[in-house]
Amino acid sequence: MFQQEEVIVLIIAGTIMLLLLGIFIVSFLFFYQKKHNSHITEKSQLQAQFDQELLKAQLEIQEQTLTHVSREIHDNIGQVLSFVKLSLASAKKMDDKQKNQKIDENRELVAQAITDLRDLSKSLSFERIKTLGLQQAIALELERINKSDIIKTHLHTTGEVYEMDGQKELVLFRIFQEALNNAFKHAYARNLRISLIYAADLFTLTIEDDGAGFSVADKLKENSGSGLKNMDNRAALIGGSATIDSLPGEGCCIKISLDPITRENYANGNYPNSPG
Amino acid sequence: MLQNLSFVFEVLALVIVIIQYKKIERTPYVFFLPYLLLIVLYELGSFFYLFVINKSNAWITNIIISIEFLFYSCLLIVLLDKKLRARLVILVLSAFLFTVVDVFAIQGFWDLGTIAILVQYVVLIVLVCMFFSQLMRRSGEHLSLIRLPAFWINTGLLFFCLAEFMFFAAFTYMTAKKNYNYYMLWLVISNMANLILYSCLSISFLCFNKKKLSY
Repeated sequence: MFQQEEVIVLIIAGTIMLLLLGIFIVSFLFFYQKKHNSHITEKSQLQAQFDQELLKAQLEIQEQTLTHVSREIHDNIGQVLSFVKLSLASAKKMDDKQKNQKIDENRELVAQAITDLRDLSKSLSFERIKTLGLQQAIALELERINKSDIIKTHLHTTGEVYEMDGQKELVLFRIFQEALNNAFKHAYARNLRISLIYAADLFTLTIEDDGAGFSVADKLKENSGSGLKNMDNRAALIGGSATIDSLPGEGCCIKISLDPITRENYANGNYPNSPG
Repeated sequence: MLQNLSFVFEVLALVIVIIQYKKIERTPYVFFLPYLLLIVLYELGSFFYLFVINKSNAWITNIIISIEFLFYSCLLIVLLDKKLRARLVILVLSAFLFTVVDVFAIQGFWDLGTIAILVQYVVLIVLVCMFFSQLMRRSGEHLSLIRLPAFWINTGLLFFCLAEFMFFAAFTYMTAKKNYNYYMLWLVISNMANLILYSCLSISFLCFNKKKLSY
């Protein structure tokens, strides 16, 4: 009889343990699915954030382009054409020889204005960045800036140039534009050195200037450091990292590094690859 | 009391299937209608001792449990990955063949084929675990488990098999001893297992109200 009671206890204990095992399996599945669902939500949020940032970068590039175009029209082409108008008006009282000379001079000025307009039409928009590629886009932008004689720029490309994802190149170009703007407007730099290193597993964009410089820590604390934070966020968004080195009076060096092959754009890498 | 309650839940599951028929018509779950009808008829017959031959209804229990095994294993095979189908069919058929051998050659047709039942339960538990693992491997989809009919069916089945496993493992030994406590334990375990299974089945049929799902 005692043995039979023992068997009954064994059945009860065994059944309880098996049921606990069942509860564990189902709970584990629930927990795993919950993590999986939150991972999907997080991923879609990051995707949305990435799309938003991309759109923002496109709009900023467009805005920059429009500012450049309007400045060129106002400061350059407009001035040249006004001068041509005045010059032609003064030609009324001149003799034929002087008139011909004036016409020739004005023709040259009009030709110059046409060339400038043609250059302007080739201004960099995000569509052109896609078509040209990052290296060419940066080279053209620097060529344009060099013409102004305000700042001297040098571009160094190391390694065989390869194409990256269009969105990555766009974001990189926008970071470059932001750095350029900072060097030009805030740092009053005279020289700018851009270096592009195309290695098989790592792409590096370095932007160095000899401007006023700043304390990175102080800048990040202030609201005015939002441009730097933007660069950092954007680099992270395309799966890269940004390093900003600067000291007051010693210029600034911004370095963006990223794996060119990584397909995932929404970076930071904070989300797990698999739930659980 | 508990026995009546589990019967009520079986009838409830059948009623829900009938109500939900239009929604499950084009899914594998439609076969629950004849299956549950059979189960309810069997329980009703057992209640009125209609199947007792040689002072036992073990022969019909052998048949019903085998049908139950074939029904659930076929349903799970349909739910599982097609790539595994051939192997799983072999596994299920092997277990069924063993059931036939056990019932006719080892334990006898008039006695409960407990060895076969244990093998069937192991196969069903494996299939349920495979289904759960398949659910875990589904990526890129936002799944709400509690709205998934197959999740409830598998959960009910898992607890049903786990709950009855130890009982059937000791069945032959304990019935030979004619222990009353064991009989009481059987009532509790069996009815609790049925309660869990049929309430899970009822929930799963109700899930078709919320959303049409592939599972």
